[in-house]
Amino acid sequence: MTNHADSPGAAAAPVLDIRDFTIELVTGKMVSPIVDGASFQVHEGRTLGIVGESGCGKSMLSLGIMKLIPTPPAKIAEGQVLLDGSDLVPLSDKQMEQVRGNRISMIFQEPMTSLNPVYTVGYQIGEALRAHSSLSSAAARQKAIELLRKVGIPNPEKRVDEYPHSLSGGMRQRVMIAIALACEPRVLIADEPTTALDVTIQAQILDLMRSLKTESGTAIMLISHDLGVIAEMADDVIVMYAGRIIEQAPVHSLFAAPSHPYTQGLLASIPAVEGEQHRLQPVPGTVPPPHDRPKGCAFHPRCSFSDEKCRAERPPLEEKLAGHRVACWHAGPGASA
Amino acid sequence: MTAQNETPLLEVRNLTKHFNVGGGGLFRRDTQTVKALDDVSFTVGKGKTFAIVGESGCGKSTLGRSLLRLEQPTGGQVHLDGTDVTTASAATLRAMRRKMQIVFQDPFSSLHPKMTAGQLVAEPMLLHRIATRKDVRERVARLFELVGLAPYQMDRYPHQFSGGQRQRIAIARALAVDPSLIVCDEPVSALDVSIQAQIINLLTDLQEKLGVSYVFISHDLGVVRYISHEIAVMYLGKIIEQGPKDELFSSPKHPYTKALLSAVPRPDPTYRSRRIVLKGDLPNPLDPPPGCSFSSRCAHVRATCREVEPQLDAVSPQHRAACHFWREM
Amino acid sequence: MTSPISSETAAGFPGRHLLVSLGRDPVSCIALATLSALFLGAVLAHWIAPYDPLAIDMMKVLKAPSLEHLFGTDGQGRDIFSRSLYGLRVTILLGFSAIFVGGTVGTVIGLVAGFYPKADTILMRLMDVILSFPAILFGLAIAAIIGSGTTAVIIALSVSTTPLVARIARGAALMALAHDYVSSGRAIGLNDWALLWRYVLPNCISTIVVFLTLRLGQAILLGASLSFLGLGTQPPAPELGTMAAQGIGFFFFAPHVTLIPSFVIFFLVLSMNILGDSLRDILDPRLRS
Repeated sequence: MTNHADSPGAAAAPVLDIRDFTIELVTGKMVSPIVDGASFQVHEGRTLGIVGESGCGKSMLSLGIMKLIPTPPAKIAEGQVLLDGSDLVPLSDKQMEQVRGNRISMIFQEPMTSLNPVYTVGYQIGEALRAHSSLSSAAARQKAIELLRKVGIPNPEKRVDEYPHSLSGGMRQRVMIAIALACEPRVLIADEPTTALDVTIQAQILDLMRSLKTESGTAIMLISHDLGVIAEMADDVIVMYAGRIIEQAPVHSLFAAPSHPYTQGLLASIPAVEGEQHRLQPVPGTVPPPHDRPKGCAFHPRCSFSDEKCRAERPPLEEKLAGHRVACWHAGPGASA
Repeated sequence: MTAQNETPLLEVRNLTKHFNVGGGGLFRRDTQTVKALDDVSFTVGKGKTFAIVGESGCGKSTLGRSLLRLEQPTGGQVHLDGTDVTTASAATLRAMRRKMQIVFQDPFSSLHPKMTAGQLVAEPMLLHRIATRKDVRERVARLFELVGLAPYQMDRYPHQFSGGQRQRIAIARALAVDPSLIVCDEPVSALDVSIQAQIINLLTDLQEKLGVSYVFISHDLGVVRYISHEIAVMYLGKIIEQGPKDELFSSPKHPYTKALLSAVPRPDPTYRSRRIVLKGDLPNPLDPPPGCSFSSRCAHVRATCREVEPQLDAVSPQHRAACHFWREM
Repeated sequence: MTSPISSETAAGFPGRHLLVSLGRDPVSCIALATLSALFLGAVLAHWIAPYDPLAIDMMKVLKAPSLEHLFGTDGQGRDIFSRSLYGLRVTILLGFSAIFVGGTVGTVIGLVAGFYPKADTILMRLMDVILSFPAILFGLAIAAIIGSGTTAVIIALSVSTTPLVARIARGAALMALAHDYVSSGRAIGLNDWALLWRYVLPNCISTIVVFLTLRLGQAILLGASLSFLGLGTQPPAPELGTMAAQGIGFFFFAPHVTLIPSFVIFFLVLSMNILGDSLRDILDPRLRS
């Protein structure tokens, strides 16, 4: 991918259009929003990075889009998930089965447990293919070999008949990607796809995802806690905190001019491998649990800029610079943050 | 290496640990040997941090546990303040636990779930008779403050704390015996980035205040850069490069160190595509490649590399690399 | 390498919630009530029993249940209600002693096997050997050596319970040992004994207790079976299994002599199993979300 972050494809219709998406967690009589009014778009051939710490709601958001959240206790309270213009939220379980793995696919963090240990790799890819098409098993096997080659698995004719336990973590994640891409989905949701992998293997997988995206034009939603991975992969970035989007911008704009104090705090917390080395400036405190979110701006107890207004009123997500939206009373041109 | 004038606090000489695998069951046959640690030597000075970096399976955690003899090494010596840990009697070893402690990676597994935070920190002090039943609460309270916990939280159980706070409890427990060395085995890799930074700062502050030495084990080069004085990079049970932090980061000599450094994703979108991407996976540790163990993935590999195992060679007085061709790197 | 950890875990030891959780399930409530009634009857047998359990009255042989004799009388005119109360005592005692002895020995063996890999193979193979003999066979062998009686039954039940507990305890110990807190205990200088007693055992105990409550019902049933076969408590002393055996001869014209003690055993074991199951649901960490 080269840098063309300035063309968000405004003319083309988005592949995935999320509007006011809210997921609530119901425990007893308590109702707490774990994803709160998220709105964003994912475009063809582009990668949207979603970043945040544990408990920020990023994984719930991706599971919610797939309608894979455990209901109860969680439920989609409101909002729309428009895939090529049609809403997924009202679809039945049966209808969703036709969408999942076909038009939207997902890869997860743990390649060790995502594959079924009792079936061969080829069988599992073939299963994904046959679920959404009328391929013969011989044709599916042939396609599986092709897919394995495409995701960079050496000697695919042999590997196709192997069981997951004989593959390394990196190889398994490649197989997961092959399964996810089997039906040429419109959107690929990757939830921490490299978190469990070593850094040299992570680099291989990120490279692979990038070249596949360029080839196929699949829109990617990449969820990660690692700002480094996001910087490397994403075209646009969303930063989440306590269930809400607090900053949304093209990747160059976000890293050049992070505007929300939380985003700035996250960046200042990263121990960098190069550049000047000064004491880390961590965000003090911890993320509040969903049932105990402070009033006003959820970040105010940890923020050094917070004042009366932050404690009383929740800041809306507003465009402060071109294409750069921030939910902070103090951000924007001329503001103190 | 670090302190040539004074005797080092910790001196590790030719430490080796072999695991036998396979051939289980009643009829044990054809067991194979994994060299989890292969001839590892280094020294750590007083008040210094020695970092050990490597990817999973490189033997770094085995090294940490062997230093404290939580695993019995197969060969070599570990001298702490002049006493050999590897051959110490059970009683000597228990007494030596006062001088060296360990903090583990996963704070959800490393604290006894049925003891309160206060009991966890008090236990080593009572065991080694550093405190009496009477003054132990006061001492625990002081340690709590030292690591950034509130003393009123003493009577809570570990599950009532967050990950970062639990790691603070683990640090307080390690500090309770006033050790001269703490082995930190990936202490921040299970934590979120902002919490991770808090713990890194805490560890550096404690070192400044107490003069404690760390052996800091991590897979994260960024973290290591912020905490260590000297760094060793491990690959398949061996140290392949070792040197002072600044030198190692500014002019790495081993191709693996270079690849490792360049693979770290930078929080900077302009950095893209300047990376060296290594081919292939870690070799099977049961069947490492002949010659240089990195030869199967190295971009600069030559015939010699596949035949002759390179030894750690002095690049500068304090910087050593195990590569035949480090001069050309 | 691992993912960031979510900020909170499930609640800790649910001791306080035990009764509350039990109270929510009506079946468990009935089981608890039945069991309490049976225990109370056994404990207070001396005061509740309307007749002497050993008093023979040849004028009232094999009477059907009536107001005078609630459960009727047996072949020697003894009051079955009174005998059931006293018999319950013996039966419960058999079960509990076996569980106590087998549970303790099994736990020790299991923990040691889990903690010391060198002892593991020998101890667990020994347990496998014991496990391969049926408990009834043990009863026969032990009765042959020391003679029939309550002691023989307790020994047989304990021996057959031990390997089962040892397996459970070993598994639980291995799970506890996989946690770094055991290494942490070793790192501060605790000896093996302290590690086993203070670090491993407390984290295995709930698994073992749950297993024992489930095993208690089986042990009682086995004890009654051994007595029924004539290996256990010797007549005239009342024991539910023995009582059931004595009624067999009159089964076709006075079935109550056999059926009533059998039903008492049935309700005792059933309610214990139900309670054991709910206890497992509440205590077993793997079933807790």
